[in-house]
Amino acid sequence: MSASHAAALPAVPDRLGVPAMVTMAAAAAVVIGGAALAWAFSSGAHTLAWSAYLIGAFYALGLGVFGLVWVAIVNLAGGTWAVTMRRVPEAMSAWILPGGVLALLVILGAPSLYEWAHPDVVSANELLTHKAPFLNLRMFAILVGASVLVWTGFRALIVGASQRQDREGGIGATRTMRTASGAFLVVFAITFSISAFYFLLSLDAHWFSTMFAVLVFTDAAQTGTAFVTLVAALLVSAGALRGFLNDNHLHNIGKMLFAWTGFWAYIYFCQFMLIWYANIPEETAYFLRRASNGWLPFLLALPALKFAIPFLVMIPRDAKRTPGRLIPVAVLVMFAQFWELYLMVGPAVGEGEGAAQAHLPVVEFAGTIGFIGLFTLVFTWALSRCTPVPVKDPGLAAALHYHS
Amino acid sequence: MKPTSITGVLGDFHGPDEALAAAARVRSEGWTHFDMLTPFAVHGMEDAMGQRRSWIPWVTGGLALFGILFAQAFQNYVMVYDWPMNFGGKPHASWPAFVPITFELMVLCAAIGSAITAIVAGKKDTVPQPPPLLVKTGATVDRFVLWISSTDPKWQADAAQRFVQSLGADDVRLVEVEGANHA
Repeated sequence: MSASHAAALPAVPDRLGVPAMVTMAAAAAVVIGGAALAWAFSSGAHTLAWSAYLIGAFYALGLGVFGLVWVAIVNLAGGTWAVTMRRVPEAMSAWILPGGVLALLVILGAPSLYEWAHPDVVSANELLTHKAPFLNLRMFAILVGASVLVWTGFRALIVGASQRQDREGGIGATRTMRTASGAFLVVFAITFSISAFYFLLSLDAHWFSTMFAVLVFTDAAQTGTAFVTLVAALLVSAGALRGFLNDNHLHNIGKMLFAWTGFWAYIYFCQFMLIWYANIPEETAYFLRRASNGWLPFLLALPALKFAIPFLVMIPRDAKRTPGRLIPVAVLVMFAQFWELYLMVGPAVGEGEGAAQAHLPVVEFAGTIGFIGLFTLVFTWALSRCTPVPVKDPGLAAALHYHS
Repeated sequence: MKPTSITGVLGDFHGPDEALAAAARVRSEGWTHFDMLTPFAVHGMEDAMGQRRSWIPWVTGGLALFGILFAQAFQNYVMVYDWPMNFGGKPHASWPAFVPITFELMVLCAAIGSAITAIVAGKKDTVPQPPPLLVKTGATVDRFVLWISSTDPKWQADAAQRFVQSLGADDVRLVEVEGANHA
């Protein structure tokens, strides 16, 4: 009786063509970012250059890893609505290996960024000596390098099974993906926290925060979802996956972005409130530093950029279903992530007389743009190499008929 | 024989897609007093039936705002004027300390208020004249049942019956009740 459920699949595009404009814009961003970093390095401003490099590299690494996290969450939760757009986060995860290697190059600039990378400073400081078994460059390279390798392995397993299913069909690949996703999320929670500790938390090796790992994860989740939203909205408005991806799917992705935006405020405020309430000098140093030397306006702008504006804009239902209204929000959230990373890295470098002064982050922004451009090139390359839709996924019928 | 009157017509469909198509046809043919009784929530039925969006989100928003204002007013009153206490030497009106309570009261007011509103609002029938008891229609088991009420401005018993048959419905039946039409 139920005739339309057996109806023919909408025509699957052979490959997703990437508009030349996107490739050119990404390439231009890489040139701008590369030029800015090269200028900073050649002018001898090593701290500035490595700060910019760290911000950009960690920004892009978060995007790449979160692509796999998105896939894992959806696989584990049985989110059939997201089947038709799964190739987008899958392609994002292609960045994990190149992005991980690029991020690890921060080790070369560690003396410019990290106090604990100077053996003489460490030996003269009891606290840093105590932390030295963890906070040293060899452990940095081993633990972060191992994390990148583990993510790469899980990426090969999960995305490989997904693409094998396109050719062979069958339920086996779905089971593999689900099992691997569960294992990956556990491993990811630990490894991404360790990466956050080394790359960002250890910029101020005296400071600690129990909220930091979850905050950095939330940053990656919110920004990664913003990127997914951006791509999905562009695909819907271009009609590239007509019949597979429509405003119902976009609505759900928009709800994810809305949820992460609220969650970010929750986490960031938690970190602030715990420190404010306890009022322990070791902890308050973090916010005092960001309230002096001209950093206060940057700090105060962050909740508006990353929470208040996107949250209020996304409240109406139509704002989450209309590409034209979703795209600006996604871009704003992605910019806000740069802002937050600048606020994490910028004030942390330099001590006492050499304390960093707030400045317009021109080089940092250019560097981040460059990394996003490089990420985009890898992403579009990966996206254009596979079938645009997982045509043999058991959840496909449910995704096609999804209403939100 | 007691006098009877017809309150409407019922017709059965066997799947969600047929029900969706039927609802869209009924709407496009200009019927307004109709309902679709289904064993589960059919995705897209509101659109097919042409129902407008619920007004309950506005209630949720209003109650959320009320929760925020209430929590702020109450905490400032208690902590600053009524019973000021010294916590770690912090000012009495310390906004960060008020945020968690404000957030929770916002959620509490909005969630409970929306649930109560939805329950109360749900008691109102979507059609001026409701269909027979749901269990008698088969919609609690496996049928997707269309109901067109005799209060519809287009109502004519024969025409309505023929129309529902033309939609492909099985077991099209007029519903008669004893006594005068209670519409």
